Amino acid sequence: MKLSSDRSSAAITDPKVMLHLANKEGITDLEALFIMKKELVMAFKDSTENRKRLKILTQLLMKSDVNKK
Amino acid sequence: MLLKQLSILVFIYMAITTKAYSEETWKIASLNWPPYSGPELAHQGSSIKILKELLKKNNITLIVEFLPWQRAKYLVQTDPEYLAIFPAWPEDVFDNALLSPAIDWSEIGILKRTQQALNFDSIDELFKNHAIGVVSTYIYPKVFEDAIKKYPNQIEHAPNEFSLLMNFRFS
Repeated sequence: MKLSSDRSSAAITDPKVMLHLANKEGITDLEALFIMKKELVMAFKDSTENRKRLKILTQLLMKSDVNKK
Repeated sequence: MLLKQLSILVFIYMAITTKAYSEETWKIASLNWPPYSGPELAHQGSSIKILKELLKKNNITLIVEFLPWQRAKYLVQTDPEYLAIFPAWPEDVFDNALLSPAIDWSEIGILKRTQQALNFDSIDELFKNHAIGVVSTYIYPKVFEDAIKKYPNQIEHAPNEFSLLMNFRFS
């Protein structure tokens, strides 16, 4: 049995995305309860060439500090 | 004079051929997911900007095509033109994908109306006692996927965040 007349009482997603869209729509009465940080990765199709590309990307990431949050 | 002109031509030829061999282009599929990625955002989004600047260090040019998420995942598996998808949660990819380390970070949270009380002590209790909106095309981290499976009647599926937002607006 679904509660609250078929309308969500909460939503699970990235709060930054929802608040960005809410701001664009002029919706100001939303708030977010933080649960967890989640890494954003690049997902390659498995192939010999892409394994080389992943190695290049990993090396670039190791040299930079973009993933040290 | 002739020697000087010849030297300039040789230099230009070498510059062009060196550039051609050293530059590579990666085409990826992404989604409209502001502020991280989107065709109308500055730099195509904050995550795309990070990736572009990173690859630029190795003379790699990034071309991004923005698609619905399911379509993006499908194309990467079936069309050799697309090398990868980004930005993705590690859970929300495709079979046998090669995953990079973290390039950027997102958050997962619970969105609610400011004036609405939402009492719960665990994710399980939240899903047990409240109607919860989720994006149907996403694969969430395990703690949420378990709750979605356990309480299917409590789940309201939306095709994207905009629809989730509209559910709040008109509720």
